[in-house]
Amino acid sequence: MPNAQVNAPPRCFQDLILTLSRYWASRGCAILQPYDMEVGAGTFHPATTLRSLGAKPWAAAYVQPSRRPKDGRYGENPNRLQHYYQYQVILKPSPPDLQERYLGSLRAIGLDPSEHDVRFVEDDWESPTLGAWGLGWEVWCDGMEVSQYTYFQQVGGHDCRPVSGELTYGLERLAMYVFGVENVYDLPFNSPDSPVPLKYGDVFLQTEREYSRWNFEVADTEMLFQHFLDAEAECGRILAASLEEGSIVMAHPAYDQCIKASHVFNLLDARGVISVTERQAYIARVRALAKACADAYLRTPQGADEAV
Amino acid sequence: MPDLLLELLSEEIPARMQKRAREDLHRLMEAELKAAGLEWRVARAFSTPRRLALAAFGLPAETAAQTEERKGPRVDAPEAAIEGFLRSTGLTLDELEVRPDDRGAVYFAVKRKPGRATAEALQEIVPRVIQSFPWPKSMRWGSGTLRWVRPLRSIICLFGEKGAAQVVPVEVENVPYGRTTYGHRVHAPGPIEVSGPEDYVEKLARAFVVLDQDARRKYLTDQIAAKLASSGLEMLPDEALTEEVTGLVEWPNPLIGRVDPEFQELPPEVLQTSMREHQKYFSLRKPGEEKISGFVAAANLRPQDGGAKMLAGYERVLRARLSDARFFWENDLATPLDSRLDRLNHIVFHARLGAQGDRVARLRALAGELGEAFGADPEIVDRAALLAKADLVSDMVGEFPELQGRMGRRYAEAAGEDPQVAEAIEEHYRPVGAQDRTPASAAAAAVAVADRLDLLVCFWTIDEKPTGSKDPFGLRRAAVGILRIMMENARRADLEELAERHYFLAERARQHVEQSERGAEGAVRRNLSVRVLDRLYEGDEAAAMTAADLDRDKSLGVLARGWKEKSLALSHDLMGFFTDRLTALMRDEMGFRHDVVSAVLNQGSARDPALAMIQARMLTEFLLQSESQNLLAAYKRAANILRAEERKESVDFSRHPDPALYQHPAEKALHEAANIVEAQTQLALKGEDFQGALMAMTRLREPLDDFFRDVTVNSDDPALRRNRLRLLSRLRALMLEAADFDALEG
Repeated sequence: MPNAQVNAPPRCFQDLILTLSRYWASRGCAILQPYDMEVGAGTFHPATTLRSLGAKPWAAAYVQPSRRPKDGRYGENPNRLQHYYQYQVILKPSPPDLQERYLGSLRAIGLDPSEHDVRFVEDDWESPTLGAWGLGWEVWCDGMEVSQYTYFQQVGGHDCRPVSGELTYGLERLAMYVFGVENVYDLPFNSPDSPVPLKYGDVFLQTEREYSRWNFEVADTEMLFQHFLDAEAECGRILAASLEEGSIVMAHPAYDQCIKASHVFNLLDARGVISVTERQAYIARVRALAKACADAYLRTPQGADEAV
Repeated sequence: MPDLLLELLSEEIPARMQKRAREDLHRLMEAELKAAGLEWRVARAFSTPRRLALAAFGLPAETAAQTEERKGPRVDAPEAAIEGFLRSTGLTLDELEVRPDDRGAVYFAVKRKPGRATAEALQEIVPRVIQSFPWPKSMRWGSGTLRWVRPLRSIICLFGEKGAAQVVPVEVENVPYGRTTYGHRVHAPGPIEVSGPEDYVEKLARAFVVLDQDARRKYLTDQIAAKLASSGLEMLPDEALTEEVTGLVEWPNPLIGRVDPEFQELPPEVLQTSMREHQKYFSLRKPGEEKISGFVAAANLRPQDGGAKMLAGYERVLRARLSDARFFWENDLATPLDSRLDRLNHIVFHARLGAQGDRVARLRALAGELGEAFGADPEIVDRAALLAKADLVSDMVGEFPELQGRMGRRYAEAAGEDPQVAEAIEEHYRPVGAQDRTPASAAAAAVAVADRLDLLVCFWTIDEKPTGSKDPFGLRRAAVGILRIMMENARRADLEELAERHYFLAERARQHVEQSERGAEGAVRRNLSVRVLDRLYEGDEAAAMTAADLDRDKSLGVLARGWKEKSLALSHDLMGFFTDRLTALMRDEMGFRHDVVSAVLNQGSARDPALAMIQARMLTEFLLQSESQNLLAAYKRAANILRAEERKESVDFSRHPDPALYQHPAEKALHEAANIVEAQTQLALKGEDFQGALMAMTRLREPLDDFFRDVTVNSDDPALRRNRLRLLSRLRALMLEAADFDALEG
C-alpha cells in the first residue's frame, strides 16, 4: 500500500517539512529552496516580496530559515530560538478555496480539524520595514497559534493587484504540537528509527549558544553600523544605475542590499545600541530601500503589469 | 406579504466588528428601501463568524405608484412660455392637463410612475449596500476590486411569499449568488438550499450553526452553567469576553480545564489577564476563594473523542503561557521596585519631554504639594509618587500593559512597602473610565491628580492640545479624572496656581532635551536654562534673572521673561480647558442648572473644582428661596441701568459715591446697608461661608426696592445722577463678589 505510506502523518521534523512540500506541490506550487541570505522571516524571500508585486500569477512554497537575533536564549529556553524555520506558501491571485486548501494541509500533517479546534482569529499583518500590510488571521489550533494567514494589500508601498494569499507556518511550534514535545530541542529531527536518530538539539543547540553570544555580546557594532551604511549606499547605487536608458533594471541585486541592511539592523538592535527614537529612523531607512526596490521591480519585464 | 432573506457568507469576520456590522446592515438596508418607497414590518440582522445576514418580514411586493405633478403656465400665456414648458417636461400639448385656478386655467404636467417590483429595487440596492459597507477595515482578494472585511464568498438574496421566494440576481463582481449556503465548516460542510428566512434559520440550526447571536450567547452561557453545576467552581463574569467568544464560534461547546496547581499561586489578575488576552479562556475559581484554579474554553466543535484532544491542547498551551507569566513574576520579584527606578531614566516619556525618570521627579514635586493640600501623610505620598511608575519596567507589565498599577501594588507589597504606599501605587490610575471609582485615600488622590496634571501641563508646554476628535494622549480624560477625584471627595487645591508653577518644571524638561540635542554648545545653554527655570519654579524671579544674565549673548533674559509670561498664559488657558469639562460634568452628570454653573464658574472656580461644586449647591438652594428672586430682580435692574449709562458715556462709575450728595433717605439707607453687607460678605467669604455671603446679600433687597421706588437715578442734576450711578455700581461690585448674578436667569 504505497499510498498509505505517502499519506501517513509525519513522525519527525523533517517529515513535517516534506509533507507540507508534497502537499503544496500536489496543489500546483513550485517548491523553491530557501533564499541564500539572512532574513528575519519567510516574507523577505524575493519569491514573496517581489513576486507579490505586478500582475503575473505566481504559486510557490518553500522553507525559509529565519534569524531573529533578539530571540536568542543561549539554548536555555524551550520555546525561543534566534534561528528557526518558517514554511511559506504564496499564491497569486489568492484562490477562492484557500482556506480549504490550508485546512487540508493541517489534515496532511495530522491535525484533523474535526478533532482539533481550528480557529481563525483576527490578526492584521504589517511589516514596517517592507512597507507592507495585509489582513487575515492567526490560525489557532486548540488555542495555539500555528500559522499566519494573510491577504497582501500593499507591498513596498504599492497596492497588490491581484492580491496574493500568504500562509506562514511556524515549523518548530507546529512540530512540537504535532509530536507532543514540550521542549524544542527534544523534537525528533529525523526518524527516531534511523541508524543515527537526531533530535533538534543535536542539530541546533550548539549553534543557538554560539550565535546568542555573538548576537548579544560580541558582534562588532561599529563594523555593523558601517555595513548598514554600505548596504544602503550600494542599494542606492544599483538603483541609480538601473535608471540608465535601455539598461537592465537590477531590482534583485538592489533588494539583496535591502535584506542585508534589515538584518544588520536586527543585529544592532540585539546588541542594544539602537535607542527607541533611532529605531524608528532605522526602520524608515530600510523601508525606503524596500520601496525603491519595489519601484524598480515594477519596471522589470517580470514585474511590469501586462496591461502596460 | 413577502419576506426578504439576505446572507453575505464570507471568511471569518473579526468578532469585535460584528455588532457594528449588524447595525450597519440593518440601518443601510432600511434607509435604501425607504428611499425606494419600501418599508418592512419587522427585520433583524444576524452575524456568526462566517456570515452577516438580514431577515426582513412584511415588505410590499412592489413600490407604490407615484404621481409627479408640475404646474405650468396659464392657458393664455405667450406661446413661447408654453413651448418652454413642453420642452422641459418632454410632453406634448395634448398630454398636459388643464385645471382651473383662481385667475383662469393653468396647464399641469402629470407624470404617473407605475409601481416597481421590490425584487427589481433589491437588485440595485443590495450591491450598493455591499459596495458602500462601512467596515472599519476592509480588503481586496484574488483578482477583484471589491472590498469586504474578508473575502466575500457568496450571496443569498431571496424575496417573495413564504415558500415561494425567488432568487434576486444581485451582481457584485463575480461573487456567486443563489439560494445556497453552508453550515458548520466541520459538522455540515455540504451545500444547503434554503427557501426563505424561517427555513434558513432552521436549516442552519440543523447544520450546527446557531445563527442568532443572542441565542448563541445564551446557548454558550447555559452550556457553561450546566457544565459548572457539578464542578464546584464559579466563573468570573466577563461581559466583553462573552461577547467576543460569541463572535468566534458558530456552535459553542465549552470545555472545562484545569489550571496546573503549580501556577495557581500566581496573582489572580495575572492568570485572568493571560488567559483572557492570549487564549480567550474564562477564569474559574472555588466560591469564596481568590485564586483561579480552572478555565472554560469555548470550542466551535464537538469532536468524536468528546474533546479530549482539544482539552489536552488547551491545557498544554496554557502551561506554556503561564510558565512565561511565572517567569516574569519571579523575575520581577527578584528585582525590588526601587531598584528599577534607574531604568525609567532610559524609557522615553515623550521625545520632546525626556525620560520617564524625569517625569517621576516632577510627579514627586507636584504630588507633594497636592498631598499637603489634601491633608495626606507626606512620606506616604512621596514614596508612592516615587514608585508609581516603577512597574512600567517590569517584565509583567511589559507583557500585559493593562496590569500597570496592579503589579506595582503586588511588587510593593512583596517588597514590604507600607500598605498605604502599595495601595496608592495601584489606585493612582483611577478612575480608569467613567464607570470607575476615584481613589479612596488622600495620598492616592494626590498622586493621581499629580499624574494627570503633569500630563496636561507637559502637553500644553509643547502645544500638543487636543483638537476636534483628536486626543491621542487622552488629555480630556485626564482633566475629567482630576475633576472627579477632587469633587467626589471634596479635595481642595488651587489648580491654576499649581499649573502655573509646574509649567517651569515641564519647560525645564523640554529645554533639557532641546539643548542636549545641540551638543557641546547646547550644554552650557542647557545648564543655564535649567538654573533659570529652577529659580522661577522656586518663585525667586530676581535670582532667575541674575542667572539669565550669565548668558553670553543675553538672549536668555528675554527667554526667561517669556517663560514667566507663558506660565501665566498657559495656566489660564488650561483653566479654560478645565472649565469646559467642569461645565459639562456639573450640568450633564450632576444636574445643576446651566445658569448656576455659569454663575459659579465665571468667578474662576474651575481652579478649585470642589469649591465650585459646593458653591453651585449653595447657590441652587439659595435660588429656591423667595427672597432670592426679588434680590435677583433688583440686581438685574441695577445692572441694566448701569450697562446702559456706561455705554452711553463710555465711562464707568466705579468710584465710591459721595455720601454728602445723598438727597433722599432711601439713598442713605442703601449706602448703610451696603456697608454692613460688605463687611458681612467679606467675613463670610474669607471663611468660605458662601451660603452666609448669599444670605447677607438678601439684606440688600429691601433698601434696593425702596431706592428704586423713591429715587430717580437719572436726575437732571448731573452730579446727583453720577453719584447715584456710583452707588449702584458699588452694589453691583459687592454682589458680584458672591456669584456672577449676570449669568443667572430670573
